[in-house]
This record gives sequence, C-alpha cells and structure tokens, in this order.
Amino acid sequence: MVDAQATISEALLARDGVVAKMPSFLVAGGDAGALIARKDWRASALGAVESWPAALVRNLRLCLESRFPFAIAWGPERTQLYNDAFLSICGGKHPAAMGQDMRTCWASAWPTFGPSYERALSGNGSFVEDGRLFLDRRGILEETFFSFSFSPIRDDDDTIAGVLLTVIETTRKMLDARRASFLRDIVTSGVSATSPREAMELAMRVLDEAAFDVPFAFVYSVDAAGNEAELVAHTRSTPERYCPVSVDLRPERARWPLAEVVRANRYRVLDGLAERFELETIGPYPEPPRSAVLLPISSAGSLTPQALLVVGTSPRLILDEHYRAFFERVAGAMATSVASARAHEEQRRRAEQLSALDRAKTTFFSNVSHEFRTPLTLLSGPLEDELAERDAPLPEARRQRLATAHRNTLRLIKLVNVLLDFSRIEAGRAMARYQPTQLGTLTSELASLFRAAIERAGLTLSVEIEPQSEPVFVDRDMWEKIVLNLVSNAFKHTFSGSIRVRLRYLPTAAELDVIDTGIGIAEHELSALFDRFHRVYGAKSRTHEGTGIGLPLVRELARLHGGDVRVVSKPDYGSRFTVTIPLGSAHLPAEQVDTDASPTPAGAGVAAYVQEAMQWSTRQAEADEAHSTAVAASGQAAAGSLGKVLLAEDNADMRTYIVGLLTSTYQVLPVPDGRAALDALANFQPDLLLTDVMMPRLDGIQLLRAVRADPRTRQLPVIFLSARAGEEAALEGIEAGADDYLVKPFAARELLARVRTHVELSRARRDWAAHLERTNQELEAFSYSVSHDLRTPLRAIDGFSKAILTRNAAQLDEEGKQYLARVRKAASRMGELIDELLALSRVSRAPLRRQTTSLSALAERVAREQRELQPDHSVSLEVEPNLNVHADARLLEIALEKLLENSWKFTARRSDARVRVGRVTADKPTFYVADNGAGFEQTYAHRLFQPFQRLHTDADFPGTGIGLAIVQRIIARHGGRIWAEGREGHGATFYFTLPDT
Amino acid sequence: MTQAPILLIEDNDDDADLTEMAFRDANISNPIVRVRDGVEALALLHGNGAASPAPLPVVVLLDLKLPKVGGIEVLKSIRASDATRHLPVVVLTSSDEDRDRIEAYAHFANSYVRKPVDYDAFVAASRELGLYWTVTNVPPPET
Repeated sequence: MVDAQATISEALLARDGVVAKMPSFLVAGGDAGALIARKDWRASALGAVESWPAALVRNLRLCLESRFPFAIAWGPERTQLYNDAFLSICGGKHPAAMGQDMRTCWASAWPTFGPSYERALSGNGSFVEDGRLFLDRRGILEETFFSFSFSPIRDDDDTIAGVLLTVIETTRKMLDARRASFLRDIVTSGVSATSPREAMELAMRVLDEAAFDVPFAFVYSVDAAGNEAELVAHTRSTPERYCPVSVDLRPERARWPLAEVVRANRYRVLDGLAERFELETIGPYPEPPRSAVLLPISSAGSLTPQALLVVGTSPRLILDEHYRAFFERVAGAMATSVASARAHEEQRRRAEQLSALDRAKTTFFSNVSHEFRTPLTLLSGPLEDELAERDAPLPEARRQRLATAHRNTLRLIKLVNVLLDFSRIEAGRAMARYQPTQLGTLTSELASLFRAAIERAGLTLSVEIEPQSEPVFVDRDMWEKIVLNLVSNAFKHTFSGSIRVRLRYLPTAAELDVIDTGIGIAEHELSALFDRFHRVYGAKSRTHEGTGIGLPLVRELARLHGGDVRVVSKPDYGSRFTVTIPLGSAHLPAEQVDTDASPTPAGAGVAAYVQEAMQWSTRQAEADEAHSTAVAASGQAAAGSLGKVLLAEDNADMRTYIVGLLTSTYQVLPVPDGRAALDALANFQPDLLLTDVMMPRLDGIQLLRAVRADPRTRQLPVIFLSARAGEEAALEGIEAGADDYLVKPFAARELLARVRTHVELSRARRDWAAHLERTNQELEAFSYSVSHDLRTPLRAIDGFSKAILTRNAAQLDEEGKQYLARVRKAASRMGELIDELLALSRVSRAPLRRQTTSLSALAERVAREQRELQPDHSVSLEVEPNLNVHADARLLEIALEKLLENSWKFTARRSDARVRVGRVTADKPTFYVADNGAGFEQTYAHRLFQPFQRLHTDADFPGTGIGLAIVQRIIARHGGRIWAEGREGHGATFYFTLPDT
Repeated sequence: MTQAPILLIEDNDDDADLTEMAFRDANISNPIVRVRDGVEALALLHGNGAASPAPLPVVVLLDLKLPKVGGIEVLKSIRASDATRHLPVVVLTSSDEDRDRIEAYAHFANSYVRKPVDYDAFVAASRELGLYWTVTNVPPPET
C-alpha cells in the first residue's frame, strides 16, 4: 500500500531530525501533518508555515487531531489542507491535493460543492445530505454520494478567511437503496405476468428506469436443447444492433458469448466492449459502457438456463462485488417471475381445459335431452290416444298396463326437461324475458296447484302473500320453476305437519320463503345442497326418483334475476328455503326487460310437477296400506303356492309390475320400503326377499344388514334390484351379503329364473333344517328313554346275579359262580357304555354357557380325582398356570376328565409316568395334554375321535371308545379343533383350540 | 317301638325287589311299603277312603317314571298338602338328565339319587340313604 509506504518514509524522515523543525501543531497530524511539514509553502499563497495566521493554525490543529474527514480551504486561492481521515475521500488525488486550490481539485464535484462553498464564504454554514457527485479520484469519473458541510472560518480580525469542509461518503448506502427498489419492482411486476415472456418484458420496463445502474439490458429465451436463443425483450436504451432477434448458439465465436454462458450456466463479465462494438453513448452519461455482464436465468434445479440476461454496466461505477451481486439478484428476481408466470400459465390452461370440458358436457346434455324428447313424444302421444280411445276401448286390465307406461313416460319427459333447462342455463343461452309481474298472484296460483296432493297426504298448505301493488320483474317461466321446485322439494321430504309458502317485500327485494316441517338437512350437507347432482344420502323422502338438479336449478334461476337462494335447516325440524329477487329492473340487462305486463299462460311443465306430487301422495296411501297389512297378517299377500316372496320396492309401478310377474307362482307380499319389509318379515316368513337398493326410510343395504343380523332370518336369500349398473353397486351388494343381484331394466324371464332358483334353495334349506330339528328331537327322546329303560333291566341282571351269588351260593359250583361273575361284569360294562353314550349325546345337546374359566385349575382338579381313583399309579403332572379360556366350564371339565383319564390309563404301565397340560402359542392359543404313555401309530390318529374306535385291545387298556369322541364334540361345540400326535411306545399329545367366540 | 315305614313308589318289580334287598343287606329294618303307581301312592298318603289313615312314612322313595300319575305329579301333591308337606322325598331314578333333576328340585325334592346299575354300588347308596333318613335326620316335632 502506497500510503503505508509513505507513512514509513515520513517516520524515517522524522527520526532524521526534521521533526525538530516541525511546528508543534503538525506533530499529531499523522501522514497529512507530516506532508504539510515537509512541503515548502513559501511560494504558496499561504507563505511559510511559521507565518500562518493563528486562526488557520488553530483550526488546522483541530482538523489534524480529529478522526473525522476534514478539509480547509484558506485564503482567496482556496488553498486546501486536510487531515488523515480525508485521504480516503481523495483517493488518487492525494498527495497532489494538499495545497491545491479546492475548486480545481474537486472540479467535477464543484457543481454540487460550489453553492455551499459560496454560502460559507458569506458567513452561512450549510449541510447537504447524500449529495450526488461525480469524482475522478480513481481514474474514471465515478458516481458517488456524500453528506457534507461547509462552514466559515474567521481570521483573528473576525473576517472570513477560509472554509471548513466536513464530509462523509454515503455511496454504498445510496446505491444499495436505489438497486433494492428496482429489484422490488421487478418482483412486483412479475406477479401480474401471465406468461414468461410477459414477465421478462415487464422486468425490462423496470430496468428502463434504472439507467444509472443498467445503461442497457436485453434478454434472450433459450430453447430446451440450448441451440438457439431468441430475443424476448430489451430496455428502450438498447441499440437494436446489440441484440439480434435470434442467435445461433452453436458457432463458437458469436458476438456475445451467449453459448458459453448457457453451457456453464453461470454469469460472465465481458470487458472491452469498446473493442467489440463501435462505441456510442448509451444512457445518461457521455461515456459509453466499458463492460457488460451476461447472466443465466434458470429455474431451481435446472441445468440449462431458460433465458439469458445481458446487462451493460454503468461507465461511472466500478464493477465491484456489490454491483455484481445486484445483477445476479436481477437475474434471480426475473427467474422467480418467470417461474410464477409459468405456473400461472399452466393454471390458466387447466382452467380453460376444464371449462371446455364443462361446455362439452353441457352441450352433450343438451343434445341428449333433445334426442330423448323425440322418441318420448312418440311414446306418449300414441299412448295417450290409445287411453283416450272411446269407440273401441281396451279391457280394463290392459288399459291399466298402458296407463302405467304412460305415467312413466310423462315422468321421463319431466326429467329430460329439467336436464334441458339446466344445460341451457349452463350454456348461457337462457334468454330470460323479464316482465313486470304481480308476483303475489302468480306465486299463490302456483303453490295452490299442490294443495290437493299435499292435503291428501295429510299435510297442511298455507300460502301467505303480502299485498303489494308494484310489479316485480321476473321471467315467468323461471319463477314458475323456482316455486314448483321448492314446493315439490318440500313436499317430497315432509311427512307430517305443514308446508308454508310466504311472499314478503323488503325495501329493495321480494322474498319468497318455502318452509316445511320435514326431515331437515344435516349441517354438513347444506353447503353442497345447491351443487348439481348432489343428493343428500340416505335422506328419508317420498321417493328416490330425484334428479339432483332441482335445487341447483333454483339457484341458477334466482341468480339470473340478480337474486339468490339460501337455506336454513335443522334435522327433524324442517327447512326454510328463501329466494330473494331485487325489485325494479335496473339490475337486469336492458335488452331482456319487457314492459309488457299481460299475463302469459302457465307453462306446460306445471302439469308434470303437480302430477308427480299427486302420484307421491297416492303412493304413500298405498304404501301405508301395504305396510299395515303386511304387519297385521300375511293373508293379504297374493296367492301362489310354490313359495313366499317378500318384495320391497318404493316405485309403485315397479312393485305392481313385479307382483304381476310373480303372483301366479308365488305368494308375494309387496311393501314400499325397507322398514316395512323388516316389520313384515316375522309374520310373513318369506322364502326370498327381493329388494330395491335405493328406498326411503330404510334402504336395501341397511335392510340386508338387519336381515343378516337376526339369527331367524340370517339364512334368508336376498336378491337386490337396482338401477345402478356400475360394478361398484354390485360389489356393495355382494359384500353386504346379498345372494344375487339384478340390474334394472331386467328381463322378466331372468327375474323369474333367479327367483325360482333362490326360492327352491331356500325351501330345501328350510326343509333340511326342519328335518334336522326333528331328528334331534327324536334323538333326545331316544337317549332319554335309553337312560331309563336300558338301565333298569341291567340293574336287574346285576342285582339278581349278585343275589344268587350271595344267597344261593351253596347250590352253585365254581363254574356257575364264574359264569354269574361274568354276567355281572358284562352288565356293568353295558352300564358304562350307556352312560358314555348318554354323555356323548348330552354334550351335543346342552346349551353352551361360556364364562371365563381357568383351564389350569380345572386340570388340577380333574387330575386330583384321577389320583384318588388310582392311588397306586403315580404320575408326575405339570400344569401351566394361568391358562384362561372363555368356555363352558362344565363341558370343559368333562373334556379334561376324558383326556386325563386317557393319559392316566395309557401311562399305567410306566413308573415314570409324566403328564403335561399347557399352551403352545400365545396369540392363537393351542392347548395340549401330553403324556409319555403307550402312544399310538400316527396313521390311525384320525380314528381316535370316532365313537367306538379303539386302537388298543380291551385287555391292554380297557375302555368304551367313546371318551375322545366326547372330547371332540365338546371342542367342536366351542368352535375349536382337536388333533393328536403320537408314536407307539412314546406317548401321545392331544392338541385343541378354544376360540373365544 | 314300631319303626315308621319307608314308602317306596316304584312300578318295576325288579327294581322294587332289588331296593328291598339292598335295604335289608344294608341292615335297615324299617318296614318298606311299596306301591306301583302314583294314584296308589297318593291314596295311601292322603288316606282317601280309609277309616284310619296309615302312619306317615319316615321317607318317600320316589321313581319319576310312573304309570298313570307321574313322579313329579306325586311330588307336587305331597308338597301341596299340609299333612304331607314336611315328608322327606328322595327321588330314586335311572335318569340323570339335567331336566329331570331340575324339575325334581324345583318341586322341592329333598334329594335326588341315581340308581347305579352295579348292585354293590346300589347297596352302598341304599345304605347311606336309609341311614341318613331313618337315623341321622330329625323330623319336625309332631303337632
């Protein structure tokens, strides 16, 4: 460092004795003081140092001793003196600046300094904050910022002889603040960009304003392969010849080293612009930029940049780390904008695709609806004609069939119409015609159309219309649909109480309330209620034949009037739907407002709504009747003889149709819903349940669950009938335990075939069960009498044999006694057999009473008994503690008795007899009783558990051959399994499981 | 003092004889009065038609399977009459079916004994039974 060098040489100078000549006020002045001391001032305006006026010396001493940058301009020639702290301000001007005319020294800054200097000379101090000045202290004219103050210095005679300059540099702070504001603007502008190109253009517009930092800038987009760059945008200052529209990145020597930057994906500084381009003035300064920076704009994580930014650097700024960091932040901000714009673009494209899809769907609905209407019209027309035929009327039975067809054709037409209305609105083609209307009269008329249907269903209808002379602008067809849909909806979900239709006027709107005391809507369903095709699941309703677009239609229609619909509801209390329509016509499109107030006839749709409602209340009457009959008795059911079918179906026509199909063969009981079916089951005892899936009150799935949960109906075959053809529905049905599944529309023959199969199966199953029950009863009676009747003669045989042996012993020889002893032995064995057989039958018959039982304790107890019975046979017994099971303790004790008896018996010949009772696995417990006795051949293991099967001779091991059969039955009664492992001469192990339920 | 009789209600002659033999072998000397069915038993107990009713037995041995009036009916009738309510009734039968036992105790049988097939066991049971009811048991005081 040059300054340091100077300091050292001056210190040497001082040591050589110059110090002795240095005036005292300069001694503390550091390098600046030393320079002043060394300089020969005699030729200057100030004259020799020794002759300097006291005021100058005093002020100079003050400056030199301060660590704050100070300079003094003294005398008419503005001779400049300064301190060490001022050196950094001088830069390359030091040491020439010492003693120089201040104005000459700071000529480039004088436009800023001058006025303040002059003011000071006239006796007024001044302070300028963050003044912008151009200094040539580093070989170039440099843009800098200073806060400075000029103050007057008075001579001893009080005249102003000099000026004191105090200065502090704020360049860093000012540039940072300026650049930060541009960065902020780039980011902000990027937010509104809808495409990457727009984001880049907007960034250039921000840089247009940043000419002091960015004299020119342009940006290229780079294709994915990195082969070609295309100009996207440039600042207004950028000469077009700088930035060709497209650049081939492949040749190595391009004008700008764009290719290099693309490959390296990192910034690059390009110096010597003068050599590359013919220099010209760009931006605010006469000097052309000396260098440029090339920066990649890349999204996070990508290897090749998506764009390239080229920026010129200001000729009046040094390209230091701060400046470079600024350029990098510009590129970073642009990358962010580009990325967010790309996301925007993506989102918009998705939204457009969705709306296109929606339009296509709506068009489809519309087309389909139209297509449907033609054949429907051709269906209903001829049917109507036929029904109206007077000259050659059809017989009543056939007329009924046609009437059913006709009614359902009308219903289909209505559904298609609603769908069509909706698709029209969706497509924005609803050409509403808003006419001034006496809304009260119209509403009252429409609501009253439902009166008959509502009252027939046992409900009350009240219509409250607030009088109002001013007409309301509505499209009458639309208002009609609003009222019809709301009232129809209320009726559909109300089973007792009332429906109120109320029209009131608020200051700016008419308000229609439709209030019912129906089932209400759960809060979580409310939000989606007006969504198309949304249906409240499982709701009790008069019908499930909804379209799911009635309420959404109401909302769309209300909105077309500038109004809306809202709902409040509470489950089990009812609902209130409120439609608000603004008064006047100012809010409506003028071209659709029609001032003609003449009434128009009611639309053709009205009849369909009312007819449908009528049908619901008729059907309810039928349903109630069917229900009560079903509960009362099964006699009402139609008579066929091959089996009984319970039919649950909410659609009256469908019910009638199916009954018609089945009635000649089966006894059919039709009911309108799942609840009624459930109630009818116990009395009717059907062989088959045929049920719809979607039904009010209790749907098919719920019905099926209830049927399967009841042990009396668990076996009942169930066939689902459903209109939902998806595989999903079939799975749902089968999973819930349905036996079969038919999708509507179904062929009559298919229905008949399936019903026949299941009824026959059911009958067979039931016959078999009855047969089994009878057999069981017989068996029980048999074993009961065996108990009595077989034992009595046995007892006589044994008793009298004994009597002969004791009382008539004298008349008997040895042989006779032997024979009688054998008679007694046989009788006793017969008695044992009978007892065992009885036990076997009893363990199968006795009810299972499960309780938590300690198998360990039972085993210990049974073993104790065995020990008492056979005191001579010593057995070492190990019972694992805490073997707890949920089982019938009595039966389990019998099982253990037989098993341990067995163990004792087969270990009888061993002196080291060992019996173990324990458990093998902890999670799915398997218990065992193991002995080291005679064992058996594994080949015969399966025969062990069959009655009277014995693997040993009576002489070896006496027994009845029933014991293990009893054990097996006891374990089976518990739902468990028993098996045995053994080896002849090496013992046997009996394993068994005892499931908890 | 003459010993009070034991009333044996048993239709099967073999069983009746065996029972008597068993009591004798067990050295129980009370006289055994035997009837063959329920009607006879009730007539005897309630003294129907007789000028002076027979002395009440010290214990009634009752088979359940009887012709005409069944064992349970006889038991019910004994328990229904003030004169016979306190009589010890031992059901002596071949059956060890749960429902028979439940029914017998439900009608206040004092004891339920299953007749063993094995004569020796039968004698042992008869001895215990007879000793208990004729010697150990103290009947209520006469009123």
